[in-house]
Amino acid sequence: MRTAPRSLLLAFCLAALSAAQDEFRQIESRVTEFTLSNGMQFLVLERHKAPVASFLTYADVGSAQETKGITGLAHLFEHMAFKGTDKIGTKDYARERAALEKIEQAYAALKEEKRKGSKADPARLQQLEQAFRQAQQEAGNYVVPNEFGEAVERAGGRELNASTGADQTMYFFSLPSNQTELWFWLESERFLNPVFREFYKERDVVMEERRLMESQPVGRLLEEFLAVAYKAHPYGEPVVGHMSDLENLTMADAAAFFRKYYIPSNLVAAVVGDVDPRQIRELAQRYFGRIPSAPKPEPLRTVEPPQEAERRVTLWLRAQRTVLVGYHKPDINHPDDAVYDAIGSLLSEGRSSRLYRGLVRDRKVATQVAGFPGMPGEKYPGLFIFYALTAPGRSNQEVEKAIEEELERLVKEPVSKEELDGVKRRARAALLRQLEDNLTMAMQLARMQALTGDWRNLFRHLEKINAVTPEDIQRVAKVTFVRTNKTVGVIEPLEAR
Amino acid sequence: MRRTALLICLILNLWPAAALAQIPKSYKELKYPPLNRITPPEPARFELANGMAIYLIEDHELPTISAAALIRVGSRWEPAGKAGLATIAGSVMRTGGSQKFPGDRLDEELDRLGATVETSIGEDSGRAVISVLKEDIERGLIILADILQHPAFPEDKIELAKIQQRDRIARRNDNPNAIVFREFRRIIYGKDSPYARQPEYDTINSITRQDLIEFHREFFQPESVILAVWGDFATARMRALIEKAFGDWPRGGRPKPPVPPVEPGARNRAGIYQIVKEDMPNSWVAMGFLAGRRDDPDYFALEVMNEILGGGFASRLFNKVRTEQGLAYTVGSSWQAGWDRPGIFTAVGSTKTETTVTILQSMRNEIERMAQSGVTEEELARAKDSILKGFAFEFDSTAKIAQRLVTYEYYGYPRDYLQRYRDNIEKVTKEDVARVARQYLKPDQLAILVLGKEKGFEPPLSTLGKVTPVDIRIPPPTRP
Repeated sequence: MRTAPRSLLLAFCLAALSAAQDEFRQIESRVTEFTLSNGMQFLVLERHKAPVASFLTYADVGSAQETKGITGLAHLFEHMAFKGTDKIGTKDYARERAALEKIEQAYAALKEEKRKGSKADPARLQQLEQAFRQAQQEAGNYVVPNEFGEAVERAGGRELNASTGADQTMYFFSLPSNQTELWFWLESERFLNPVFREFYKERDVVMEERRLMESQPVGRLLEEFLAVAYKAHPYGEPVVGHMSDLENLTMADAAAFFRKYYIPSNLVAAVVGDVDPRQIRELAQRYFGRIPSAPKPEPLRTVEPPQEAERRVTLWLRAQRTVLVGYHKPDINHPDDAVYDAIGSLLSEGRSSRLYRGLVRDRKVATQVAGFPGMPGEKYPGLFIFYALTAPGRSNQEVEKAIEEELERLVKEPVSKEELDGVKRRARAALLRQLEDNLTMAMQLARMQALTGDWRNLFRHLEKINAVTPEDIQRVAKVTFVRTNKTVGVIEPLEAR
Repeated sequence: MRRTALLICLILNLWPAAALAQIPKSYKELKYPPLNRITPPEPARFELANGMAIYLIEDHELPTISAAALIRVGSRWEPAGKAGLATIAGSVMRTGGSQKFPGDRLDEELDRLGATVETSIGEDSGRAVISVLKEDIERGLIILADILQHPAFPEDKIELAKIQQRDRIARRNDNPNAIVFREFRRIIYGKDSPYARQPEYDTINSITRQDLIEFHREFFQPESVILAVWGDFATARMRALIEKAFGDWPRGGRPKPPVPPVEPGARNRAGIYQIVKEDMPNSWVAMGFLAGRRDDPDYFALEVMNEILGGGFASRLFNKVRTEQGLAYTVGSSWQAGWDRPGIFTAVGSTKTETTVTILQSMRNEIERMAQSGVTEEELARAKDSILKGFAFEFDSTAKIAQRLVTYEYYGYPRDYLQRYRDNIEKVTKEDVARVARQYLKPDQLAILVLGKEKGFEPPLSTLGKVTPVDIRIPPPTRP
């Protein structure tokens, strides 16, 4: 008899749950997926609100694919993907190609002389530098600068950009939907025959990007923090690359990286907006079907060994106190992934969250605090990171201790049903909000497809969050938030004189 | 049979070739069908008896409802000695809540609902937003109506907001990009101007609960509020819900506060200004002058001019300074026309210390070239295409449409301003651009700000003219 009310309750819960899920099933039914014979995958979500659409290519390659000596290459390649092809950005490709080869030769000669260090001949160095400059100038005569970007802008395109992370590189823009074919033309050319023109200028641009990061205290903190949190896995390296690697990357490095990783089976394209999936399929075959298939690159070998000691790094800067605390956690395909997200929500979403209440409102040791599960990536085991701005007159130690107390509380006391219900409702509201934006949806669908093998996991994940119990949270917190799994990075102020 | 087989072979052989033939050699040869019609939703506008203006737009795509309001209040109207008062008031209205809805309880309730109700006050407007699953909209509206009318301003939440403010003051020199934009604004408007003054420890410490109460009483009245609500609802029912929530808020009867003028000196800030920050591997360079308003007749030609000079991925500054010279990651310009007061024109770039003066000259050359010789037909076409062909993006979200209507009404612009904007951009000619470039861009009258190391670049800054140092040290509190 005791089971009857329970099953009634269960039936009631399931009914409520499925009503919430119906709205997502309806959206799922508007997604079309197909794979070209060369292995490139496509996801199409129809949304006819306005005559526009967003287009995105997700390349399953990021800074995690870099080895020592070529850090920053995935990101520099992303920049090069805006430089055009044999058909975009050139006045005369045959001649330009010869001029580009001369640049490589001049650069190789210069590099060889430079390698002699203090024994290099200054006169010869000067001469070689002059030759390198001249070769670039000559090739520059054949360039139509930024034609790729201009083609998108002249079509009334928006949101043209790209991003490189530890896990992936994404390229995207949005167009008035009648010009859909323009994306197919430009994007397929981009990955069919890219030309690395203006390579050494763009390398300078990326070095400037690195300097921008270096001039920001939090940028520097994060770089130092990741360097100690990882000792083997490339997640410990900065996406933007080390300066000395940037200074030595070559066009040939970029070409080799392209051949190895930009193969169709490593690409997922997502199109969201006012489009006809049948037409997308036809265009995909016509344009992207041209890219020859190639074997998938060997997966990354290195696995970060279990952390066995607490790690710490302190930066002394002309900046205010800031705290980062991180704990290693599993990748996105681990069965507890949703539990980590629930913990993140519980700890740092909203003013009623545990960290805001504990650190900002009550103890007043911080002015801002947040927790992110999944830094710097999710494809491989990442970190659960906590970030706090220490309040004026308070110490970093107080902040660290307060974070620790909140984490201990997670282990000791089961969370209340009300708190967990809030997590679930916020997850649903957040997913609904993502559906309002074409580009966001394109990113999310492609990301889930590439990282988990099925875009539907975007919606399944919500079901998994709904299934999280207070015991799950205690169990996962207990194995994760332990002293030997902890890395701390802080900024201590070096007062200006 | 054989013939059919042959035919099939032929088709199979020819098919890929035919498919390939369909790809034109250049994207410029692509032919596009006409754009599907833009069918913007029809907004309903009405006013409550107390003068509050409402826009409603139904959108049944998702089971959510959002609202956004602009309120006639802003830091430009706060007393100079109390800089920070408006920001604190905007924040404590929500964190402190009202008698009926105390802040901490609101935090809990809203987080449980997955809902947002927030208030804030910026330079020239106050803002309130709601974002809820549709079943919670009535609750959201009632909460918002109550905290706008009866904020409790409890002491503990005022103190919390002051800690946040003091922390922002302490951190304001940590990030170079924040420094350069802030200080350039202060150079142009003047550091005591209502458009550039900033909170200091003393102004924050002097703010009392009584100040917040008086500030609220002075500015919050229903006729100062324009609210838009959009999402999954029926207009008639939403109208009833809004009447219920806001209908008994009595009129305040206070007139619109006048827009504070920009000081006359703002029109002449020519010079070279320097901020020294030794721990940087690079420098920021900003140059510009006081710009105009959106209702200036020249605004449209200036927008097109700026698009060509420094907007986007194919502008002159981007092509020259980034692509050709490899000097910068960030470089560009913007013509920030104000809605109801003059804005600022700025060109900004960042480069390694050694090339500080190189980038400065390079940026200034582009401004000079624009002033002297205008633009080509090709450039004009690119800029206009970029703005006009992307017009459909103005309608791809109901939030954009709703917030636009509120903004136009708040600043006294016509409801069809977007259409007028489009028509006016369409009319801009090469001659118009050349004329406004000549008239507005005065390369020898630029204010130029350099942030970075003091030395380490050749030639030194002083070769360009007299250098005025800018002191960004944070004044310590004079009393606790």
